[in-house]
Amino acid sequence: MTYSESLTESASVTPDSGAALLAAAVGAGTELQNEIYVRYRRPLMQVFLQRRIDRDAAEDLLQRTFLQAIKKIRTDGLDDPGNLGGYLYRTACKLATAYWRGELARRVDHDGELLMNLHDNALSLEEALDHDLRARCVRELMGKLPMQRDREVLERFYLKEEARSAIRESMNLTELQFNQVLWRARQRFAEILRKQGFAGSGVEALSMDG
Amino acid sequence: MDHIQFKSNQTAAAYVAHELTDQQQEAFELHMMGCSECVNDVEAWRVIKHHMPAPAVMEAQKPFRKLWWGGWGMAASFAAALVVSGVGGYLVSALQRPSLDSSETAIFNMPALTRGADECTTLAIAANARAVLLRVPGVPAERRITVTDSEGRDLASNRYSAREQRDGSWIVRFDAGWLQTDSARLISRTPGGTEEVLGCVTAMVAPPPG
Repeated sequence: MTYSESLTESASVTPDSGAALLAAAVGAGTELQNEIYVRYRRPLMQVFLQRRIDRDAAEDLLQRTFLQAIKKIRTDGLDDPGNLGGYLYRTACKLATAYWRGELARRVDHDGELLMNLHDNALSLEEALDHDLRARCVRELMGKLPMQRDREVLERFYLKEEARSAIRESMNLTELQFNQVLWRARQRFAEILRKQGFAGSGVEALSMDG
Repeated sequence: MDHIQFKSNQTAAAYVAHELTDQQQEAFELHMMGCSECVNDVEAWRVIKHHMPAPAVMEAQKPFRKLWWGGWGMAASFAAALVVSGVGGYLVSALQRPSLDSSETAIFNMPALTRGADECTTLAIAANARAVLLRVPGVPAERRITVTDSEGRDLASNRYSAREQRDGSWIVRFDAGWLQTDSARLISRTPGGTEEVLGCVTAMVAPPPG
């Protein structure tokens, strides 16, 4: 499966489809467990990465999250079956907190029977592109930004991690102008990714929004 | 907040830059659980953030554009400028010796923390040492190094400087005179405020070995 196909497969999940998945998952078919995994792993991975957890540890926590969820679904069910995503999210947040408190063993001996059959078809952008290609795409983006101002905003926002308010103030940018810089950068990056063959890079959606 | 608002506010970009409040972050992460488009945005911004080239790298990669008159004049000017600056630099350096030469700098690797965070390692330095450089390897990318004095107060910025090297290690520079009068506790901090004590050092003048 290609990256774009995987994106199509993991398209927006409505609460109803989550409930249907959950209801079906109680029947414990591995395909359905796999579908839950494919749908939620990328947003959950971002939840862990956002909490400064490195990718290896995040993968481990991801496995724990799904393991807990599947066990919970099988034994007790969920109070609100329509909110499977919310349940997974809360579980992930708790595990992330426990991780930073040092309450988790470094590596858990996973329930192999449950997880062995979970196949990951939905690759994230970081997983789909190797390190060098990602770096090249970002360099290309920086080279293609039309104004020095745009490059400076991105460098200060992401490289130097300056606060948006400080950048805006020093560069005399309104909130709208600041967001426009980000929007232009995101759009160009999507175009660059599309040239690399990733149709699901979001450029269509951005065009509609813009 | 709905999807359109998240998009128009460039919430994904702000999320990756850790600019959202806890409530905003939770709302956005819950939204992400069901929105592959926002997950795409977050992944793209995270790639941009992680691979953002330093401005110097971008400058170095600008393609050389050949001048219409062949560039020989430019080459000659460049050579002349080199000669002038070389001679000038020598004369200036002869008049104004650098404020710090290598014999006045003591360089150490960060001692391993073996006996507990409060145990300080004394670094043996020469009597004429004016600066102490500590190399601290193995600091996770998301963490920054700060230094406190023996009473746990953040050290004034004129007492030390810390910078990250390209290999991920940190170089911390202390005023040697101050380090002989007090101890420095090195701490790695996440933006969220989580701290880890890396060790404690102080300095003492010692005679040459042998």
